[in-house]
This record gives sequence, structure tokens and C-alpha cells, in this order.
Amino acid sequence: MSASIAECGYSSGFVLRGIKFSLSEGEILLVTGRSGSGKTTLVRAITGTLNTVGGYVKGEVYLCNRDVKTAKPEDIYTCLVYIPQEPWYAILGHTVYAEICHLLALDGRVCSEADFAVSSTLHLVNRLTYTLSAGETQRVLWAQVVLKGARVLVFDEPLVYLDEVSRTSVRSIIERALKEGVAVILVDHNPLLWESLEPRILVLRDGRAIYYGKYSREIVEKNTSTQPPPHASRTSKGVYAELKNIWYKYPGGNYVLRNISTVFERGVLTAITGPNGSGKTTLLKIASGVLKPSKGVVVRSGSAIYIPENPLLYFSMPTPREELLLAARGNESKVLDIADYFNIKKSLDQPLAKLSSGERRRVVLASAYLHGFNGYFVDEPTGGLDYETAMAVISLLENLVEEGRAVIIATHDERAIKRADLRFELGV
Amino acid sequence: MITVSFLTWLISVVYKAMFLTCDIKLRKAHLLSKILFTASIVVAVIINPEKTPLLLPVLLLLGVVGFNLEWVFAATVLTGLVGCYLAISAYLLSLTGLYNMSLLQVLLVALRAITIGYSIILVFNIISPIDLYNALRTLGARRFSTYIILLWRLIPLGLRSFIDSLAVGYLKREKTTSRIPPATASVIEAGWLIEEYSYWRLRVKSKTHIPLPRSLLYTVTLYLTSIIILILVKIL
Repeated sequence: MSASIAECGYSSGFVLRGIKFSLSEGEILLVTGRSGSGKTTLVRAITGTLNTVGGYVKGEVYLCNRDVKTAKPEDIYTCLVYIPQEPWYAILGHTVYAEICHLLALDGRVCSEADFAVSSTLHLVNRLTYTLSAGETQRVLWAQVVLKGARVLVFDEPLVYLDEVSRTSVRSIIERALKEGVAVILVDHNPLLWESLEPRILVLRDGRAIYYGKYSREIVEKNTSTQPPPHASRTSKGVYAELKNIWYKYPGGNYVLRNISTVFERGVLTAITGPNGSGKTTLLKIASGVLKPSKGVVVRSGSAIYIPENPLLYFSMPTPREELLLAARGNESKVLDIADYFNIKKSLDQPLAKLSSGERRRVVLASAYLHGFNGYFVDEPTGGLDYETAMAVISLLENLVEEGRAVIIATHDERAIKRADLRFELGV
Repeated sequence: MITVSFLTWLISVVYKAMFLTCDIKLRKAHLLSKILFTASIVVAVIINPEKTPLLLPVLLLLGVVGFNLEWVFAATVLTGLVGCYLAISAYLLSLTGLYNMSLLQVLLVALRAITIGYSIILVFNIISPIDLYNALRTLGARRFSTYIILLWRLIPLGLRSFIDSLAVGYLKREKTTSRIPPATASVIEAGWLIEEYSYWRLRVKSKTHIPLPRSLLYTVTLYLTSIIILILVKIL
């Protein structure tokens, strides 16, 4: 594949300029940079989807020697596998069986048990796809790599929602694909995770390529921070919630949580960790009162809020200003103070749906802060965020902790785990 | 707050009753047995509507055998709500003196509504999206066929977004109506992302069918149930 892009972006906004690279069989390119540097725009340009979101490309992108702009959809579909950061939106089938068989039907092949065996999805074959965990969803998407025989793989932040076991699987799939001559493009805010593959690296900043060449730890460390600084230890200010012998089973499924007992405390940051599918989100929902346990008791002292991984589900109003005004009961000056403090003043009047992940998370926290809850249960607060944005979100959570609130996060992110005072591990 | 709790509960009942079943058990019955089963219910309801409540025990048993108790419970609760609403309306109407109805007749109204509603949900659940996908392919709508399986994926995703959004609204102590826009926004965003991430896939026409393994056991079960239904309404 090759890309020679003079300019690409959105007519009324961000522009990425001067991108030129090519990949031969079995080569890997790692694209990195901060949030807003142009990683997603570049992925859209490479995969030929920028126009679907109102963007444009001035230049040429060739996949399997075919121009993305003029090629037949069949040619690009056969050549390319794209696994996005939110893998669950890349699945079309209602069951794993329908998903895999549909992939093969597009290629003119009738699926059989052997296809599920070779793609390691046999154990998932009868599962409804909306009941899959993030790791299981990734596994179903990787089946494309094996079954389609694609020549170009594009992975956008593939490790964000994965536990260590699944991360190792992703790495081995990529290594195998490279050995088989597939060209791989990886987008990751943390290049150190891919050091062993010795990729070529493209570092983006503010819509420009600031480095393109051989992997170099010096370049990586200069342009990306990955390790959070140490923090002073905090001490508990008393018990906020007590969970006694909690069991939970989703409709039509098995028990996700079995006899879980723990306490969550005020004045400390608690991280719930564990492998994919171990019930981290479920535990957050139960502890906050969103779900009722099948068995067991939750005792909370004070109000609680659950902040879902998709912040859009939290909001009630269309813009940050209106959302914050609602939370501040109409007090405009309080809203402006908080917007300043949470660094969201510039985006106060933009539609929430158009904000970046980092901005949405900051707006959610600002709104929740104004509501003044006693306990905050936050799902994957730093997922997919670059170091600076992730640290900004964590520091906002730490401010809540220092005010004596209870903050409980469910996360896979080592950066967040390192800043936590207490860790509650599920599935061990 | 009661409204939010009720709506959350109602959506989860709809979710369980309509989208909890995979392509297993009754969905694996042969297409012809599904058509005959549906026809037998339609014939029973049209020809002898008075006796439709007689079908309920048979259909409940079929639900337990063909799906599971959890599904039967959800489907019964959902149709029970409609049945109760119609029965109460009929009873209130009879109190006005405009229409004379005994309590037994009111009960029969509820039972008929439950039976017909339960039958509709049962028929909806035995239809496999894969059957529809293959049927559309055969009819020449090859690209459109993909949207059928996508629909079965998107609706439960949307319902789950609504449940999460309502639950957050409950914790924020907000009105139920204020929760509809964010849930809708998240579903619309999901639609955009699906369009973007599967851009090329959605533009390729399927070249062959998706095989759906058939089950002789469940095919026979559906044929037998169809015969029992017709016997019960004394058509045979």
C-alpha cells in the first residue's frame, strides 16, 4: 500500500498535511501522536472513509495497487481489514454465526464448522454479538484476518479495552500476519507497547508529520509520555459503600458476579480491574444503583452517579453550556468557573455529539462535579486517550477524591491503575 | 422516579421477549413448519376467536421447550400488560352502561389479548434473521439482505442504550423525557460508526446464502403443535 496525501481533513475544521509513506508485504507502520494530532483522520483517509464523515482527501491512497477513490468496493473490501478502536461497531451480524458466515458469503463461500475452528471462534458460535465482551468482540473481528486473506490490516488503538491475555493474542496475530506478508498499520498513543516488532514510525502533531522513519526509543520518549508521575498516598475518610455477597446474572446468561463482597471508601481512588468479561462494568452499575443484584445487598451512604464508558449516555442537554447550567441550577458564573477549571471553555457551545472523547469526558466530569454527588462510579475514564488527556481526566477525578468523595473506576489502563490508592481485582 | 423505574423495567422486558433468542432450537425448525405454524394460529384466531384462550397452555409449553422459562416469563408479562389494559378498558366501559359485560367476559378479553399477543411474539422469535437474509437474496435484494441481520443487531443495542440512559437519569434525578435525546443520540452515533467502520462491507453484495442448520426435533415439534392448535379449535 502507499499514501501520498497533500492534504486531507474536514472542510470546516481540522486539516492534515504532507503525509507520504509506503508499505510493502510484511512491513509494519506505527502511527502515533497526541489526541487531535490527526491519527483518526489519517486512518479514515487510508481506509477510504473520510468522505462518509464529510471529509476530503487531496492526494492518492493505493491499497493492493488500487486507487481507493476509484476502485470497486469488492476490491477494497477483499484487500483491507480495519479493526477500529470501538470494535463492537464493526460487527454487523446479530450472532457470531451470522457475522462469520456473512463475511464468507460476501466472498462467495458457504461457511462451515472448519471456518469457526480455524478462526478460534467455535466456542462463541451461538452467542448474540451484543452480549460479547470487548475481548470476545476483538476475537470475532480478527477472524476476518484469517478468513478473508486480506493484504492490509489497519488497527486503531487495538489494546485499549483488552486484558493482558487478549493483548498477547493481538500481538501474536499481528506477528503471524506480518510473517504471512500482510502489511500492517497500527495506530497507538503508546508506541512502547509495540517496540518488539521494530515498526517504522510516523509521529503526528497538530496535523503534520513530525517524524517518519525507523523506530527509535529516543524519538518515542521525546514525543509521547506514557508513565504517570508518582502521587502522595491518600488515606480513607470512611466507608462510602458496602457490597455484601453480590451475585448477578444477565438475561439469558450465566452469573457474571458470584458472591462478591467489598467496601468502597471516601477520600481514595479505587480501581476495579480484571480480565475482559470479569464483570467490572457490572460491579460499577450494581454499586452505583443502576442495576439491582440478583442476590446480595448494597449499602451506600449518600448519592451516587454512574458515568458510562460512552459519555453521550450521561448527558441530558445538547451542548456543554446547557448541560452545565442544568447541573448548576442556572448559575451562569458557576458554570464559567467550572468550565475554566475543567478546560472546556472553548467547546461550551459546540454540540456534544461533535466533541472529542477527551472533551466529552471532561464535560461529563464537570457536570457530575456540579451535581455534587458523594460517590462517582466511572467506567474506563481514560480509554483511548493520549497521555496528556488521560492525565487531565485522572487529575479531575483526584480532585474529587481530595474533596472527600468516593471515586471508583473500572479500567484496564495501567496509567489510571498506577494513580489509584486501592485496587479491587475481579476474576482472580 | 417511578416512571423511570417502570420504563427501565418495561424496556428490559421487551428486550428479553424479542431479542433474547439466538438461532438455536425453534429457530432451526424447517421454514415450511414455521409457515404452517403461523398459518394455524392465524386460522384459529380468524375462524374461532372465542376459543383462542385454549391455545395458551400449548403455546406456553412450546415456549418452554423451544426457548426457555425466562423468555416465556418475559413474553407473558409483556402481553399480560396489554391484556390487563384491554380488560380494564372493557370493564370501565361496561360500568358506563353503554356496553354490558360480565366479569367472566372481561377475563376472556384479557385471555384472548394475551394469547394473540403471545402468539405474535412467538412467531417473531421463531423467524430467524438468517431465513429473511436468504429470502431477500433469493428475491434479488442482495445488498438489502445485510440490513436484516444488522437490524437484529442494532435494535438490542439501542434498547440497551435506552436502559443505561434511563438509569443515569434516575441517578441524576431527572425527568424521563430528558433521557430520550441522549439515548437517541447514542443510537444515531452508533449508526454512523457502523456505516464508517463497515463502509466497504456494506457496499459488497453477498454472493451466496448463509446456511442455517435445521433441527428435525424442532421441525416435528412445530408440525405437532400446528395440528394440536387446529384440533383445539375444532377445525379438523
